[in-house]
Amino acid sequence: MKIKKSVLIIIILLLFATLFVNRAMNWATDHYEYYTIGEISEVRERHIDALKCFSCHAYTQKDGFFVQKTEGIYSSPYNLAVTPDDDFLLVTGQESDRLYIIDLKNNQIVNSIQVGERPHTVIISPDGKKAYVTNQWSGTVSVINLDSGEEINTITVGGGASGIVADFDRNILYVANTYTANISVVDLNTETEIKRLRAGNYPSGLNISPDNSTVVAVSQRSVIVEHRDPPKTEVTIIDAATQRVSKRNYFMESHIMEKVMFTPSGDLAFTTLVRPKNLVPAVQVENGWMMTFALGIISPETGAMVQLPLDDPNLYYADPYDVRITPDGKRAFISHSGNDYITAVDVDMIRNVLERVNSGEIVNPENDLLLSESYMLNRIATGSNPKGMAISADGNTLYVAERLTDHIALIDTQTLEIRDYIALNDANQNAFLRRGEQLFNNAAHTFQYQYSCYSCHPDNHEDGLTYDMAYYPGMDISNVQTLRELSNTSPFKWNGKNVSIYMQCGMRFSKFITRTEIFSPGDLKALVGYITSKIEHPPNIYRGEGEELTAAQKRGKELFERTTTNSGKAIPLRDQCITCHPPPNFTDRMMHDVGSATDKDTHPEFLTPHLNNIYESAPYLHDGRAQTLEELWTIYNDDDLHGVANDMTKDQLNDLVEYLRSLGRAEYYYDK
Amino acid sequence: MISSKKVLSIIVILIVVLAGSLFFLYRPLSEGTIIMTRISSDEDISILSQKHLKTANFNSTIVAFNPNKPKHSAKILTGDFYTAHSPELSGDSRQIVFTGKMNPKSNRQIWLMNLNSQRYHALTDESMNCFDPFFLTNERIAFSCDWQHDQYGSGSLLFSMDPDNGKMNRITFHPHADYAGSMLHDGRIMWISQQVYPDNEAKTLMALRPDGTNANLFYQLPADYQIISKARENDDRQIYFAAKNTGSVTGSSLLQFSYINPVTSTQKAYESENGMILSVYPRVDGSLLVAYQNSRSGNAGLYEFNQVNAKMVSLLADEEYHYIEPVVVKGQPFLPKVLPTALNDTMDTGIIVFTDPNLNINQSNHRNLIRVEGLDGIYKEFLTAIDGSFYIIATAKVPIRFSQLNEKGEIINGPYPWTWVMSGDRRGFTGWNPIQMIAPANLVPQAINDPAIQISAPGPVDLPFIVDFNRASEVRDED
Repeated sequence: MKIKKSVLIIIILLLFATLFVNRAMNWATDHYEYYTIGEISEVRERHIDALKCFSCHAYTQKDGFFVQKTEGIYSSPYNLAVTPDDDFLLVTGQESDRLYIIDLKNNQIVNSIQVGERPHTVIISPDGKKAYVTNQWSGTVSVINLDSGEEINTITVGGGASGIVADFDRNILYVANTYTANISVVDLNTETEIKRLRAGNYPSGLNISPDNSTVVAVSQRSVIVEHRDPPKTEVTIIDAATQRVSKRNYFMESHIMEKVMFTPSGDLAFTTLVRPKNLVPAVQVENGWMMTFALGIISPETGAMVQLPLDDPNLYYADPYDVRITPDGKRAFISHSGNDYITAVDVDMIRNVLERVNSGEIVNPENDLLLSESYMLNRIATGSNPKGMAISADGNTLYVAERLTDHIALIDTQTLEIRDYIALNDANQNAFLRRGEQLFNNAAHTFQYQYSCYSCHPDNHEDGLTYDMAYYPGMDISNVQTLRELSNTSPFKWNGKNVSIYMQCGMRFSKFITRTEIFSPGDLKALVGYITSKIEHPPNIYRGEGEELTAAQKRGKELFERTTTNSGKAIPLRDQCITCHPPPNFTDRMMHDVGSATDKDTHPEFLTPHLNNIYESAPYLHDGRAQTLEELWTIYNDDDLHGVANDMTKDQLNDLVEYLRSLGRAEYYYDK
Repeated sequence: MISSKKVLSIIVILIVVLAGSLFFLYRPLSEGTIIMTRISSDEDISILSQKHLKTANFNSTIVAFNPNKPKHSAKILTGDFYTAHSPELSGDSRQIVFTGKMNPKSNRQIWLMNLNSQRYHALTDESMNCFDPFFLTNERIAFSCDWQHDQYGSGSLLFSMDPDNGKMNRITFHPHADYAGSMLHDGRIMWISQQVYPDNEAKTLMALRPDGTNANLFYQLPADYQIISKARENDDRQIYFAAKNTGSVTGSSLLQFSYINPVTSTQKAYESENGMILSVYPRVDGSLLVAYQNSRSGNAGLYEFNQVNAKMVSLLADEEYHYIEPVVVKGQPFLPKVLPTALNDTMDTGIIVFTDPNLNINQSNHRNLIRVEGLDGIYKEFLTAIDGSFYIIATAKVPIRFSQLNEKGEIINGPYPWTWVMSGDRRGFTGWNPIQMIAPANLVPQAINDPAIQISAPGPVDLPFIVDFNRASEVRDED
C-alpha cells in the first residue's frame, strides 16, 4: 500500500514537474526571443540555432568566468619611433602599458618597460639617449633613459595625453591633451609643464616643421557647431619661438584628424581625416553617401587646407590614422586602421593635383572619388588595425604597428611590399574577445568597406555628430551615443527599441546601417562580447577615482538629489533628477517625455541616457540640439519637464553641472 | 531446380550491378568538371557576335567534361531538350540552372537541375520567354524575360525567384533589354543593359541589389567596343568580358576592368583579329577559361588563357561541335555577400534625394527647374530648393527620368537614364553624371525641409510598362 502511495505521489510530482518544465521552457523561449529576435523574422532564420543561453549569460558577462578564461594578454602596439641610428624601434603597447624596445639587427625585443596607463605615442631625443612616452589614461609623460632602460621621470600634463613632439633646439616639449582639449608646453630642462595652450576639440596629432618654427596640432572632433551645421575641426598653429598660438583654422567637413606630418621641405603638412556625411539623409551607402576618407594638405604659411580623397569609387579605405613621408619627400604612407591597408601616395603627384586645384582646373576635389588614382601608388594589405607608423632614417623601411595582431610589419618603401614581421608576443590573436575587437574596428562588414563601428564610435565612444538615419529625410535626427560601459544600460537606441546588443548589432544593423551581409553568429557573439565586456570609460578628468567631491560638486550633488525647490515647494518624484538618473549608471533605463521632442520627431519619449563621464558626450539630447549640459536647462527645459530646474540660480546650475561632470565609472558607484 | 545458394548469389550480383549502375549514373560531378553549352558545328555561330544566343534557334545541349580527358568524358546533361544553354552553378555546385526548351516552336524556359540525380524541372512556364538564369546567394535565382510593347519596342527585364515557391519578382523597371546577369562579390547583380526606348545602341553594364534597389550604371564600354558576353568578376576584383571591335568585321577582344574603379581601368587582355571570343570564366587560380573561335571557319573551342604571357592554350576542340559558356564545378572564384533588404511591401512609394555636387557652402542660390517624365509623358516640372537639391516620393516600380531645364523650358542637362524606386526604397543621386562618382557634400539638402514632391504616373501604376511576353518571344524568334 505504501509503495502504491509512493508511486502515486511520484507520478503526481512528475506531472507537476512536466507542467513546470513546460512553463519554464515557454518562459525561456519568450525570454530568448525578446532579447535576441524582436520582430525581425530574418534574425530568427539566421540566429535561432546560433544564439544560446550562454551567448548572453556567459559570453557577454563583464569579468565573468568565460571572459576571463578567453582573454589573452595583449600588447596592442599603437605608435612607434626609430632611433636616429636605425638600430632600435620603440613601440608603445596600448593594452600592456609597456614600452617595447626592439633591436632591429635581429628584430628581437630586448626590453619592455612599464610606463603609465594606455601609453600612446613615443618620441626619441636626437642623441638617442631619452624617449618620451605619453600615457593617455594617466595624463603623464614617461621619460625613459634608453641606456638604462628605466623610467627616470614622470611629467604630469593634461588629461588624455596623446600626441607629442619636441623642439629640441629650444628644449620644449608639446603634448596634445585629448580629454582636456589643450596642449601642454613642457620645459625639458626642468621636465615640468610650464603652460597649457587651448586647442581644438580632442586634439590628437602634433608635429613641428623641419625648421622648428611652427607646431601644428590637429583635432579629432569638430568644435561645437549650431545644430545640423557642418562639423568644423580646428587645426591649431603654434609659433615655436614664442610657444603661443598664432592661428586657429577651422576646416569644414574634416573630422577625426589623427596625425599630422610635414614634408621635409616644410611647405606642406599632411593630415589624415574622415569626411562624415552626417547631414545628408542616409538613404544609401553607395557613392560615398555615409562617409569618405581623405588626406588633408595644409599650407602652414596660409593655413589653407585642400582635402584629397583616399577612396576608390567602389571601395573605401576607412579610418585613416597615421601619415608618414619618406626623408626624400617623394612618398607618403597612410595607415587605414579600418580596413587593414597602407596607402602609398606619390607626393609629387599630390603637388601636381594641388596646382590643378589652385588653378581652378579641378573643382571640389574632396568629393571626387576618381581623383585618388592620380596620386595613389599602391595599397598594401596588413594585419588587423594598422595604427602608428615610423620610417627608418635611411628611408628604406616603413614600420607599421598592427594593433590587433600584436605585430610590427616592415614594409619596403621602394617595392611597397611587406618584408618581414616582428611579433610582440605569442598570444592567441583569434581569441573570442580579440576577434570581437578586430570586428569592431574593421569596415569589411559594411557595404564596400565604407565604415567600421569605430568610424562613428572612435575610441569606442561617439563622434559627437548627429545623423539623419530615419526613413523620411530630416526626421528623427539621432545623436550618436557612447559605447562605453553599456553592459547594464539596456535597452538601446534613443527610441529604446533594441533590448539587447544582439538586437542592436543584428539584422536591423545589417539592413539600415551596414547594408551588407549580416554578421555570422560567431562574429556577432564576439562583437557583442567585446562591446559589453571590454569597453571602459577613461578616468574622469573632473574627479580622480577615490577623490572627494569638490565643494561645488557637493552642492551640485545636493541639487541632483533635492526633493524641494528653492522656495521649499515639494518636487514630484518624477521631476527629481535622481529618479530617472539613479546610480550606478545614472539611468532608469526607461522612456520619458522630457519635452525635448520637436516636430521632426515621430515620438515624444526617449530613452534615459546613462551619465557616466557625461562631460565627454556633447552635444546632448536625442537629436544633439543642446550644445552643452547647461543648455539642457537654460534653453530646452521651459516647462520643467526635464527635471525641475527653472528655479535654480546661475550658480546652482553651475554646481549641478560640476556634479554631473564628476560622475565617473559605474563600478565606483557599485562600491558605494 | 536452382539451389537457394544460387538464387542468393544472383540476387547479390544483381544488387551489386544495380548499385554500380546507379553509382555511375548518378555519381556527383567531381570538382573541376567543366559544364558547357555544346552546339552542332553545322550551326553558324557568327550570329552570336551580333545577337543574343536566345535569338538563334540552334539545337544545343549542355555537357559536362573532365578537363583532364575532355574528349573521352563528355556527359550530356540535357538530352531531352531541343535546345539547352547558358548553364550556371549554385554556390554549392549541386545544382545548375539553364535556359532550355523542349521543341523548336516553344518559348525558352528556366530549368533547375540537380547534378547528382540529373533530374530537372521548369521554374518558369511556357507563356514567357525567359533566359540567362543565375543563382543569387540566398538560394534564389535571377533571370531575364522578354517584354514587348507597341509603342516602346521590345526588350527584356530581370526577375528573381525563390525556386521553392516559384514566386517571381520583377527587379528591373525600365524600357531596356536586360540580360546576361552575374553576381559581383559585393552581393549585387551586374548585367548587360541597353536602353530600347528611346532607342540607344550602346550596351552598358549596370549593377543593382538583388531586391531591385539602387540600380546604377556600373560600366560604360569604350566607344569602339560592343559587349558580346556575360561579364564575370574574379576573386581579385577584376571583371572580364568578351567584346566585339565595332570598327572591324571580324575582330574581337577580351577586356577587363577593375571593380574598384570601373571608370578608368579598362584593359585589353587579349585581342583576336580574325577570331571570336564568345565567353569567359575566371578560375580560382587566376587563369581564365575562354570559349574562342580562332577563325571564322573553325569551331569554337575551350581555351585556357594565361594572363601573364597572353597565350591561349586549347583545352577542348572538336570538329563536330562548338563549345561555349563554360562554368566549373566548385570553381566559383568567390561566394558573393548576402545583401539584406530594407524594402517594405506595404508601401507603394519610394524616396529619391538629389543633391547638387556643384554646390558649396558659400553658394546661396542654385535653384534649378527639373522635369520628371515617365514612359507616357511628363509627370511633373518643379523648382529645386535653393541649394539645387530636390526630394521626391515616387510611385514604386514605375520608370522615371529627370532633366534639368532652363527658363525657356529647354533641356540643358539630361535626360538622365531611366530609374525607379521599389516599395519603401530610399536612394540618392549626386549630380547629373550617369556613373555616380561624386560623393555628396556634407550639407543638409534644403529640399528636405519642405514636403516631398509627389511623383506618380497619371494612369494606373502598371500601365506605363505593359509586358506581353508571348508576343515578345515571337518577335525575337522571328529575328
